[in-house]
Amino acid sequence: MEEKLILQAKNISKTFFSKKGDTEAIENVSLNVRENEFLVLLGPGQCGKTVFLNILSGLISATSGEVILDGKVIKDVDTRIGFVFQKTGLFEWKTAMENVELGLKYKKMPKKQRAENAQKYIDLVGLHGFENAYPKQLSGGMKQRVGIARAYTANPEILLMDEPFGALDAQTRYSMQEEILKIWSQEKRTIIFVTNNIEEAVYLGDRIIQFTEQPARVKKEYDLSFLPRPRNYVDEEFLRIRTEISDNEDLTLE
Amino acid sequence: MKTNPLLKNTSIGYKFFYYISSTFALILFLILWHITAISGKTMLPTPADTIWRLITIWGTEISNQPMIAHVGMSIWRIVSALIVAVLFGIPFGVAMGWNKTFRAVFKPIFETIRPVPPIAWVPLVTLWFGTGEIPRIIIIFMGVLMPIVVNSYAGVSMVPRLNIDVGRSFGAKSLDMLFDIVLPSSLGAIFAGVRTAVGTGWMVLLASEMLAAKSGIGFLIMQGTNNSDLELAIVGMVMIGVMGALFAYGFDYLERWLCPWKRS
Amino acid sequence: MTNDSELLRQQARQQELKYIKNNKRKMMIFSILSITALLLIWHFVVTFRLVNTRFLESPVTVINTIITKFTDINPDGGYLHQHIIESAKVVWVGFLVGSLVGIPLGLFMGWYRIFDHLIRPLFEMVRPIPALAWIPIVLLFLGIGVAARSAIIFFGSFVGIVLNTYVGVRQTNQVLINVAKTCGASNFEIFYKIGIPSAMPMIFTGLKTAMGAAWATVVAAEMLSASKGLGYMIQMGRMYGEVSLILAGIIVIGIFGLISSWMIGCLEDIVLKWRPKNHEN
Repeated sequence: MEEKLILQAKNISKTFFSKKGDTEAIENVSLNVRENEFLVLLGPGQCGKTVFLNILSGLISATSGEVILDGKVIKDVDTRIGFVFQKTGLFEWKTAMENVELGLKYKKMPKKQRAENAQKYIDLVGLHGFENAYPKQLSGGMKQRVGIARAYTANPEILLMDEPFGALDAQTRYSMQEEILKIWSQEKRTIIFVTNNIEEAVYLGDRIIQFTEQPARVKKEYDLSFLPRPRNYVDEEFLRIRTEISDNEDLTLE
Repeated sequence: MKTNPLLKNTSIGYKFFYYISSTFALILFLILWHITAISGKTMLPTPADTIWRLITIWGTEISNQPMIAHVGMSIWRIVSALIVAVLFGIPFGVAMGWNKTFRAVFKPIFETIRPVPPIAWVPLVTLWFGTGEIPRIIIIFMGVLMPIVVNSYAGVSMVPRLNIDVGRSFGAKSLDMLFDIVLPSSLGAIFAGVRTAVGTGWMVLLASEMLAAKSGIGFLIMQGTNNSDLELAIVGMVMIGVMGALFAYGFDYLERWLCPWKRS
Repeated sequence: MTNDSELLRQQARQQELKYIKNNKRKMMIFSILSITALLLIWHFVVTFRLVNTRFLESPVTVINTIITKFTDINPDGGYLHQHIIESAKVVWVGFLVGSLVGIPLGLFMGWYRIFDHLIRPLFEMVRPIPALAWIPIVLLFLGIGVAARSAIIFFGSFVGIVLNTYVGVRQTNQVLINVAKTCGASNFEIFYKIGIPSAMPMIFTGLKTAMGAAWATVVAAEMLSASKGLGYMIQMGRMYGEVSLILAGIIVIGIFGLISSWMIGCLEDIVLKWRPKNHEN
């Protein structure tokens, strides 16, 4: 299957320097991201996945290595890459609508057009009727829906999602997983999704890249494109892959 | 904020209990005051006389000015000083938190002046500008400026990293970042600063009015003290307390109006 | 290969540390320059007679005044150390009484409902009244003197201490209380062993605010009625038209304000050893 590469990470390493000593977070990670795929980065907690995602987005710079988007090296944040933050990062002083409009506002799009665009994604994530609610008035799941709508509305080519469901309870988490697949199938974009939950990874990913314990290195890659969607958590094949990945996982005390 | 639930109760019986004990405490206070007053060892007026004076004073003149003029004068002084301090102090504090070079240049100067209590400037300001209204407002201004600048600065420099990251990843330019993210993030801290400033402001106002003025609540307190008119002095105290409380409520109101997202 | 990446890392490391160091040094230079510039402008404005010395004296003269004031009684009838001791005495007496009354009051009000109900209405009445407004009442009961001025400082420091202590003890972690209850501790035991230690950081916040308020108040109180003290000294400086004395007083007041808050900071470090330094939140 020959598909277009949209994003490449080449020999990314990241070391944090401090007086107390150096911390090596990422060691020589390279990977290719294909257009419109759902790529999951799986690794034990605190292994450096978030740091890696931050490097892809340009929020922090790598110690060595480069990130190539559409054939060009990127040095700073780029609005072609959207971000869904683990702690939602909604602005509490803005309504759901204003939060969703954020990216367009900074692109200086006229207000009316902005609202139309935002409304589409608010409806898509099922928040119709909550446009004027402040984040404080929303539940955890609804907040993350706003976060997802916000990322989509900015119209990026790639969406980075940093354990977006990590803080949610199991019930909400399952429904959000279905939700994100629904949105992905309707609005085809490349998604790079970070999680430490194997089941979630197998449920969502076209491809899974498994990271090692810190410092993060690529441990193994799993191609799951053969596994049909919608997937079933108790399907035999599903369970087999889950066990395989789980056996390969570095044991970690979280 | 987690509070001890032992202390939280909203049942009717509890409220009743609360009102009873509060009233009891107030009555006890008034009785003690009354007994001290009629014991004749001091010149303390009785609570009844004081309350009567508090009511009738609005129909009288003190030093050729009606009571309302004195109160109005004090309010005018503190409000004008506050407005100037807010207009100057918030941008200054924000600039100090936002721009590294600005901070490096002005913070040391600021930190040098900060430990000097505002009232200590009174002699210098009177020497420079005389004893009119403007010098008085300058002194109050200096008193209220510090907390406003300090809190605006702290608010801006402690904006959560996450908020900045969100702004960057959605393509916020420098000005977007400042006005759309940093300022709203630090609004709470700025408000806290203004609230502290109002408290300091009353203190400095009082000092300046007591030291040299022909009007205002501080003048009334001093007038009462010097003429052994304790009723007048206590009326002044009550008025300044009432004004202080009203201002505090006013600011809570203003904050809720300006920050609708904080209402629950 | 490994050697290569190791080399790259070393380079990056040196670059980053150097950048941080340079940045720090640059900021430091800016700061020193700005203070120096201020002092120079002050100095030259006076020496080039751009401002009449009736209104401003040069920093050199002011420092001279501070030094000679230790041995010169004129014009206000007191040596500098006498004024300092007088002010410090008033501040510390008022502040200590304020803490001794305020901390227990705040603790009990925060923990026991009955205290809260009895005292809070009265406290809320007293709270918005600035310390200086107590002058007539204080003069009535205590006359003019150290006791009266200390009483005013007491009012100035007391409110902040009670408020912070109250909030501190109320923020006691409910989990800790439940654990203690499960272990069969009495309410008083919980208060003593959990409530009070939990309130400690806030108590110190209160003490620091109160100390600032105490210095501000003492200056005002001494300007209004005193025959010694730093506030009195600067007031006299104005009466006799001696700017250098006023400026000297302002500087000394600032320094002693700093020393007092530093002392409380030290006490805090000793008492709150268990708390990690530079903690977040």
